[in-house]
Amino acid sequence: MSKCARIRSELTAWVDGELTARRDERVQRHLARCVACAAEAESVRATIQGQRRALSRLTAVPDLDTGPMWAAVQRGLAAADQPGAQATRPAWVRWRGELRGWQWLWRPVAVVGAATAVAVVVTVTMFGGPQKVLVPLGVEAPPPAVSRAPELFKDYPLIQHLDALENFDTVNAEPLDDGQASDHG
Amino acid sequence: MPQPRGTFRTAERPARNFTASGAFERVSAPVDTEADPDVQLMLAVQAGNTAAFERLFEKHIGAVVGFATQFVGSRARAEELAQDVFLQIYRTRQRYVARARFATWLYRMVTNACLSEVRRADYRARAHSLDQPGTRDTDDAVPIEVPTRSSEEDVAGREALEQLHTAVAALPAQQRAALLLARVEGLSYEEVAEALSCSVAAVKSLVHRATVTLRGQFPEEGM
Repeated sequence: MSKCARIRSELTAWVDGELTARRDERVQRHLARCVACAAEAESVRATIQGQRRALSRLTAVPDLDTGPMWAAVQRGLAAADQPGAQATRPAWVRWRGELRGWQWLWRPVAVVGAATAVAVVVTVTMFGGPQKVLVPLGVEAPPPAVSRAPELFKDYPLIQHLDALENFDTVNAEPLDDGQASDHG
Repeated sequence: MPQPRGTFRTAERPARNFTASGAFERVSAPVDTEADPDVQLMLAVQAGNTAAFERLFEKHIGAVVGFATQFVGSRARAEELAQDVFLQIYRTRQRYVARARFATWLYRMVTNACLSEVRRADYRARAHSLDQPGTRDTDDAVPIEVPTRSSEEDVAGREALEQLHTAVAALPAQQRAALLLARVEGLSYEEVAEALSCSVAAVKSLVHRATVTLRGQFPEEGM
């Protein structure tokens, strides 16, 4: 971003008087020697003054009748002060109030619980706790014959999940006779 | 009757930089809460003074309704929302801490209420458009209601105001809130940041973008 672009991006805050003293001084120094940016600053200033006037007109409510509104607020206050008002509040609001009353008790408990949780996580992370207790679920021990002489079985393909028919799709069985195969097929 | 805008600004706040060569002072200087009469009124409310609460209500209700109208679209809904905010102020008066101007605390509540309302309105509009596909363009927008002006006001001025209302309503809610708080309610960027629960840098960006967007539609003093 060029110097002029950077200064221009700060002109709104500068006109609003919201820059730090150092940045403000920098903007002023730049405006003193850059005619184009000085003109832009004047334009931004005029825009903000215009916006201030126009937005004030837009949000003005000169015909507001505050009497009925104050009466409604008073009714709300009276309803809130009634003894039964507690019961009409939502349950979660009442529970929140109850919890706040017991802060002296549950805050220490919560702090101790959080500290314990952090300690457990740190311990497990640093010492690799779960690695040592992992159980190789689903891996069955090989049959005794394989365990005794594994070199005899090393060239045999392993077919897992023998109960699933699709595992047999890869077995290439040469048909003895095309005619018979088509008859049977 | 509500007092005109600008009454929130305390004497120690420096003027905005309206002259290009004017000396600058940072606005976000520490606020002397004892000098803010509203703070004193609120402390009286805390002590159970209902008359002080009524004075605060009378002083700020107009500004709050005007601000809320720019979010909820309807003047009637804005009045309800303003009443709710003042009820909330009274109910939570014991939690008030005089560490900033009263306006900052007030507009934090008002802004929260308005943004919640906008989110609810968006949700309702989305749900409605899903129920009835094809009607989104006509039903999605919040109904626009320009404040009633005096009969002497010229037609051109009224049209300009309606255009401005449309342009402001089209701004993202956060930009709209930041712009109105800074330009109309006279809050500093730091106070706006507290009202919107964001950083001062974010407010600087929000106000700048909103100013540039409106400037594109209403250049210079033509607003």
